[in-house]
Amino acid sequence: MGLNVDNNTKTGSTANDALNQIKPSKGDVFKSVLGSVARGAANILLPGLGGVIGGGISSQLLGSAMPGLGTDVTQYLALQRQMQQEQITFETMSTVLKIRADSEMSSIHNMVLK
Amino acid sequence: MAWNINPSREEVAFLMEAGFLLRDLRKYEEAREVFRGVRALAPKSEVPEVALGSVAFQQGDFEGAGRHYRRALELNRSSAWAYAYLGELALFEMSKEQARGYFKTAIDLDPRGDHGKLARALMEFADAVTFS
Repeated sequence: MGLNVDNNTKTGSTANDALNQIKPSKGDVFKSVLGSVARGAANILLPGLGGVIGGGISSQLLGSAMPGLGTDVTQYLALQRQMQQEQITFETMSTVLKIRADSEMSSIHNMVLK
Repeated sequence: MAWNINPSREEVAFLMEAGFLLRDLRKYEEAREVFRGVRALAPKSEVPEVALGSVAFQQGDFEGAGRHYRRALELNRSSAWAYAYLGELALFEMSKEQARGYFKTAIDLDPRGDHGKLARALMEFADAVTFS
């Protein structure tokens, strides 16, 4: 989302003017939609790739809007992806451990005493 | 001296649960002692054998764990639990393809039960992690 800051804004401007300033332009909306679509399509073809493409488009947009922020955003996105991956691993581990315990209990209670 | 002990199913289940609790508390020798006792009470059951294997596995003794799991399969060829644990062992020994074979057997033997579910979950986990 692009934030247009007008240096010539008068001090007596209304709330509507301020809202108009932060409203994304039509082009930005189109680009964000395009990013989402590309992300979705790439995920169908190659899982995981969509995030990279979508992230790339977003960070490029942000980078062009705020050049100083671009690298930070890319880093934050990489960190976010890493954290998501770790979360998935922990969730999978947790599920496996729970099923493992269920499996043990099931074996105990169905044990045949010969 | 000959012992004539006929434990009930509940008593054996209680002993097994105690063994697993001790194992998870890392009191491995005590857990092993309990499972050996259950094995003496039910010598033809594969369950205490798999449990002994799980203690060895948790201690990092993969060779010992494998021995127990294979012995369990000698007692019961269709033990989906033993196959699922053998798959887990193969996974930790970095043998993903072998693990997949064991998991598939476990799923075929117990498609709707807890052991099949465990094999499926472990297989998903294997696919999610990358081995270096």
